[in-house]
Amino acid sequence: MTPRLARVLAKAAVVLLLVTASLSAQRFTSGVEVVSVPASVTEKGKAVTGLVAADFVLTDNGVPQIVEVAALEEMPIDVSLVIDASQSVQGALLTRLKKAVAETAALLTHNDRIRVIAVQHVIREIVRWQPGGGTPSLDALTGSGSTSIYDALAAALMRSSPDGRRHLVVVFTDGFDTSSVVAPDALTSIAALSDTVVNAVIAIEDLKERRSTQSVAPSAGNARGGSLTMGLTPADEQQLPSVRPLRDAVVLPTGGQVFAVDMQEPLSGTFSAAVRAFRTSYVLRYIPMNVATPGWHSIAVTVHRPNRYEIRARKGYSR
Amino acid sequence: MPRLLVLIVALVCAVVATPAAQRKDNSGQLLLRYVSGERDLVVSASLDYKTFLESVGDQVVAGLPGPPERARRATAAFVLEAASARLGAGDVIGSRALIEWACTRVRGHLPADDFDQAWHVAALSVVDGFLDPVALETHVQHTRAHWPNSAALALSWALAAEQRSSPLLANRVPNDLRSMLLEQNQARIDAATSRAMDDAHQRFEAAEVAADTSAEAHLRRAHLYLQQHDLPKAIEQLSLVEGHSREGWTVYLGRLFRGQAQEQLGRHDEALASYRHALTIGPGGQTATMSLASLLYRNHHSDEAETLVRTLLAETDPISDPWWTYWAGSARLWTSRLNAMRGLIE
Repeated sequence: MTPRLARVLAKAAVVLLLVTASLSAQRFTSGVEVVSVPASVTEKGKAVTGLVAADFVLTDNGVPQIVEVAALEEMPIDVSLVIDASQSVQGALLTRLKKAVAETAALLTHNDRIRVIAVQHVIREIVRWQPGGGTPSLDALTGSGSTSIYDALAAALMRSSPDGRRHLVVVFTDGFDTSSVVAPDALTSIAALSDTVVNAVIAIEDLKERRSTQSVAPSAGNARGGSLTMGLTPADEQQLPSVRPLRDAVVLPTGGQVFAVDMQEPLSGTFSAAVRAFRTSYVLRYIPMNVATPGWHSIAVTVHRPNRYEIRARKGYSR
Repeated sequence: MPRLLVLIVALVCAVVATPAAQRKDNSGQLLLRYVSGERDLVVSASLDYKTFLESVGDQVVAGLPGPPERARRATAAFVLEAASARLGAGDVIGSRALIEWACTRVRGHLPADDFDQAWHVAALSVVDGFLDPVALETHVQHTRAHWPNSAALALSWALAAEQRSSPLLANRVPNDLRSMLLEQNQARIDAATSRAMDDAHQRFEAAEVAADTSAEAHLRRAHLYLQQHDLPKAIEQLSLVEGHSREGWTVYLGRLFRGQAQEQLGRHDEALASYRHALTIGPGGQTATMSLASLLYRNHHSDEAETLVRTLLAETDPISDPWWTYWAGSARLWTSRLNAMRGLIE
């Protein structure tokens, strides 16, 4: 058997196994372990679509794997909105939040689902899973108390995705946690066992003012004018170190993105952008081959022409 | 502009734009009704504390019906209840102004009597809730001379040091200042935190002596050790908690902290047992539930973890988790202390 034929046959076998295995399960179905890796590819802040398996290089603990690629646009998604509704979120900001939540629900199709988890010191699902396209009732969303944002994210992540569906968490916060018992490192461990992607919308006091005095451009380009920006600048990170724990604990490890928004600016479009970024990403699936089984598996995803594209993908998984 | 600054500016503008005489003045009437026995009135009333402080002077108090000593006590109690109501409405500034007004008068009453002590102990439940260690230390310093052996005062004195050591309380200041606190002055903050923890250990050690406060003092020392990653000492302190108290708040937190210490030591089975043990005291308690679910999930028991989380998120009337009031010290004891103080007005 020629090496080329061997590779073709191996790939065919993997595809066959992937088809027979659950599309959504991160782990065992029918005795076959399938690892799912959500990955977004952007160029200057814009999603790159139309990529195929041959465009990706994925390594599991340094060992290249044979992957199958599916575009998320073709799959129904479940969106958990995790909303900081603490004392600091009142009045106009709360009104803007409700509008952003309604916009997000309207953006989804009837096959998608949405729920809303309100975060104060208490965490509560104020809108249970419901089909997209509707208008969730947000009467129970009021601003008071302290913030258990890590607890809420852990709760949102501890959930098995139903077959054939992908799960996105969009968290809105100012980045400060005051009452959680789940520590950032525990949150990272939970994220490593989940195939959920976490995108964070972080409201920053005086972001526009800061940006006007900064000479360094945001790390991932400006997605939508002055008030909504993907990524944080080095100056943001210097001035807002409290954002880093959340980003490092759960956003980057799940392959998510940070959207920074000025606290005084409209949130219109912000959550929607976070959902669109997920919707236009890919799911890479593979059956781990030639890698040791237990413990942490580090994943690296690249695309040919890496200098042009920015790739966000899960950093690894535990088993 | 930082939100706190906006709030302060708005407050100043409101005061400047509205002369005291034009503001609704119901404080004298409220006081009269309170003195005449309508005790629960203040809690629901929105007292204009500025008007009260400006218009209800000592002359008004002297003119209240009934014996002067009763009027003095009722006035002090009325103001303290109003301060508690202001705090409940999130108005720390107003609450603090009322406490200071009344505290000066209660301290000025010599020799101090049982009512005065009950007032000060009840006031601690409000001042602890400011989450302002400087205000708390000042208040305790003012009163300790009268009651040097008060266990409640000793515990609040220690709590002030513990509050000083809390990075969580840095979250009460605006973002810019928070950032500076967290990043640019990290070394200074670390040193100050370490000193505050040492102070707190010493002060809680003193509070361990009294039977009333011993369990909570051990509990809080254990939490300090947890933060200092001295886990064996944390567990040692926690082993003393339930022998001194069966109060639900203390026992729940003792078991929660024990689980946290065991978890950090890698003793996961023991930690799971401790979290479950805490939930026997506070079924559905969020912190024990999340700690349990988180550890179960990370140990590949995802089914039970998911069930716990699903139930928690769906709860429409969650129990008040003791952790939420941990930093506010004796705030949870307000009702019992209030009743004790009220009982001494007559």
